[in-house]
Amino acid sequence: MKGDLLVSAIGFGIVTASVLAVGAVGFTLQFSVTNILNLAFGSVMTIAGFTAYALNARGVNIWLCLLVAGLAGGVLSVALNAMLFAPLVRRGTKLFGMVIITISVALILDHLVQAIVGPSFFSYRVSAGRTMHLGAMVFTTTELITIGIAVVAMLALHVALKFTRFGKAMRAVATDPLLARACGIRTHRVVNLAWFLSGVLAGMAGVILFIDTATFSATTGTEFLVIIIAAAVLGGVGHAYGAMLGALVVGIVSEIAAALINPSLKEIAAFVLLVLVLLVRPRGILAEVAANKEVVA
Amino acid sequence: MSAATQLYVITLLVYFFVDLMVCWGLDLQFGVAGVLNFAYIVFQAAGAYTTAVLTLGPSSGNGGFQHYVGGARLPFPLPLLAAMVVGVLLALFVGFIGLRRLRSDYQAMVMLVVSVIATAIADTQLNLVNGPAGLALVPKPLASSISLSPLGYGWLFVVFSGVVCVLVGWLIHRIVESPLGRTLRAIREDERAAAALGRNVNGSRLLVFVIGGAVAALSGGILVEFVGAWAPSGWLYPETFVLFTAIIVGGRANVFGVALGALLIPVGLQQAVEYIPIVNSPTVLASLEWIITGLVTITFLWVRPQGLLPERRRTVRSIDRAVRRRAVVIAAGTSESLGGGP
Amino acid sequence: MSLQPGVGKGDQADGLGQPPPGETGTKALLQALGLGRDFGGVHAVDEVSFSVAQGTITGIIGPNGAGKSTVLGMLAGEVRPSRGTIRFDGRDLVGVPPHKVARAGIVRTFQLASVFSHLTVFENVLMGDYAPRIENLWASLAGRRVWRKQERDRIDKAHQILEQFDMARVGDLYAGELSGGQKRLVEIMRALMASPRLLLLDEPMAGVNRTIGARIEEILLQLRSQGMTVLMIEHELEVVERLCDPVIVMARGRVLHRGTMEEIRRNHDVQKAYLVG
Repeated sequence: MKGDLLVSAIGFGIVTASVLAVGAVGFTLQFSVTNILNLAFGSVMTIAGFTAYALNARGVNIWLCLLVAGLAGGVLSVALNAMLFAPLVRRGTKLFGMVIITISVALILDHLVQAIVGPSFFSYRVSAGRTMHLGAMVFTTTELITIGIAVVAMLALHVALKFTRFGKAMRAVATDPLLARACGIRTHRVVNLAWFLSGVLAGMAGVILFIDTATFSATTGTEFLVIIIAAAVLGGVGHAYGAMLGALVVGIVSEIAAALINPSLKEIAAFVLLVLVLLVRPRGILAEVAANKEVVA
Repeated sequence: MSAATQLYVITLLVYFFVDLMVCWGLDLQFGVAGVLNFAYIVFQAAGAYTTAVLTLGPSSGNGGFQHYVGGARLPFPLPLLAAMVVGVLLALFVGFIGLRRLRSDYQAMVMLVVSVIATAIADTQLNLVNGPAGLALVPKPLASSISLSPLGYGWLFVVFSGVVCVLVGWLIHRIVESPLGRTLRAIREDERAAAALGRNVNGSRLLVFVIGGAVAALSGGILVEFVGAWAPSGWLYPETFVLFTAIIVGGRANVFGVALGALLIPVGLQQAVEYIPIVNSPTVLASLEWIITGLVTITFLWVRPQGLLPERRRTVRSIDRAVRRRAVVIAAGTSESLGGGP
Repeated sequence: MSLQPGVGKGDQADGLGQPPPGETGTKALLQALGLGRDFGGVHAVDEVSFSVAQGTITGIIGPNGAGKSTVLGMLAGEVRPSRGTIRFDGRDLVGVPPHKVARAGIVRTFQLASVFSHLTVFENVLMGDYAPRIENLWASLAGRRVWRKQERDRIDKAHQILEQFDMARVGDLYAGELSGGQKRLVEIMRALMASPRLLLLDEPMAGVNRTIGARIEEILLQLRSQGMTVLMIEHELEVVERLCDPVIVMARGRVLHRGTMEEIRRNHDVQKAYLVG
């Protein structure tokens, strides 16, 4: 029985990890290219999620809403950078200043949403679909689609980073922006693309998070951001594959702790894990990239 | 003044002194040493809980309506001292995890996570500090042995918190204006260069972390003794952000700037928002407060990042003055060259 | 000294285990033996051995990406070597953190002049002196009475250095307000304030105009005549020629050659490394 419980917890963990992975990769991708820790990422998730809600409430299919939300997230993310973050960096705002700026943006956006929609909770109109059993794991169709979306997004990103010109340019900018510029890479475009992709991933993560949690409010995105950060830090910030690994670890560990020990431990377990990892490897599991960046910065 | 007005003023003053104390402690970390402690409010909470628990008496002894660990009924100054000890220990623990060899913004992120963990623990572990309901009915210190009217007691508390606040500010000022203070500012500017000149960067950061932690814990203790209650909803991570805003607006690494910021933002702005006539929903009002705070922060970082009262330039003359009765001759040439500076 | 020191592994370790012939009689202040550093499986630096004799200005040259700065970083304790040993005055320095390396007497400057921007020039120079007895919590809480005397001593020293560098005029400017060359001077003043036993300079002439460059050269020669030991990375070969003896040539993470600049100019391998690398 205990074994079954464990296996089914792993099943839940995989669903959580899928949401986390999409978010953590988006968060870390943009950081590695632009060097800005964007704490407004959770608000982009929320706004995209509510955009999807506005359409969904008018009868649009949720998966179509997901695409629109992804697009909305991308546009919002690029706009935030173009209108606020990039000009501030040009004005010489330092790293810590940028953290405070992004957290200000998060507060402003979250509370704008809250002022509009109010403090109540919302749900999408989506049927969970048939349930499927894989051993002791139980998945609804919706959950399987969520996992599928995450897997496809990760694979697509992997292929894009590895094999396309933009992907290579993006990795070059992430490793050494000055050198990349000297090599003729149009860093400006690459940076915009990174903000866009990160926003798209944020938007998608927002919608699948809201589907997964069943009910959501104006602060759900930013609350979840902290777990995304935990996953990203765990894997080593700035490292896309580290973020995927971190997401998987955080997702599964938190669900196991919730199922086997106490549901109230769900998030705490993830954080305790993060603390332990940071004690052993201060820069996260896959830290080489983050460490090298530090030399550059 | 009517009794109601007096009560209002008393409350504002105590809040101001507590906020000022916390801002000075945070400024030592952020403005002076460049450590971004987004978990700062957690230290205030730790101090408040410690003080409350050590004042309330045993958990079982109050009708069983609130549950917590480590209850005791200690006489007046002891709970506050214990709060400071807890603040120090927590700072050592968190600092050891989060400060090592990490870039400043990366540290900020880890601290943010710590802040959220702490709230999650207090919220979900119901028997630790009574869960989301929090602790209430914390007795006022020495209330039974001082025979004063409630208002008289209130004014006494204002004096008490004011004295503690000034004392804290004076000690922090001493640190900032000492050779150690210069080292901290150098670490803020360039930690690599500071290490290459023999300074223990991690050790220094841990030091300001501990001092700030003790100050925050003390302030939390004083606040809970005044308010009588403390719950997780009162120390969510954005509360730390308000303190950052105060420091940025007032002027970081400037004692008076920080005081001005503490007056303008946590006390002034939040009071002012209450008087906006067009809004009648309390939740929208709360949202508006956060939106304004966020906008103020962005505006200042954009237009005047050094704050209203910028950090003082330590001239050769003032450095010389600190160790001599009179400035040395070289200072004469310095003032004219300054005129040509950018 | 032979013109063809081995580049192969065993060869080199053997050849440099004892002091090279040119150095007999002078004391090696610093000795690096078989230093290596890997970044993600790539040998960024490998089998690097050399020694720095007391009272010399030793130069390190080599094409971009030769691993020069990584070597300097390892000597300063910032980059942990994957292999090899560093001995400084009989003490093993591998694994010693940067601030303790500095306290042992090795002070470095950086490729991008890293001044404390929002500290004045005078304060920057003061920071060169590390005074644990007054830079601690108890001394600062106890107040001026406790730290006044030692602080006064270093203030006097800082005044002297500023005068010597003709920088007293700008003592009150924030270091961030200076030109690139002046920042470099501040960095060197700050390093000298520390009274180092070994000064590590990472491209001290980079981004510096001719006038200030000439002044830095002058200062370095003067320091050498006072017995200071310097190890510097430099790109401009004329500068190296005027200042450095001996010179270490690095390419692709290895030491290619070691000798006087004249010997190096004649060396075929070195020319090839510069052209190819």
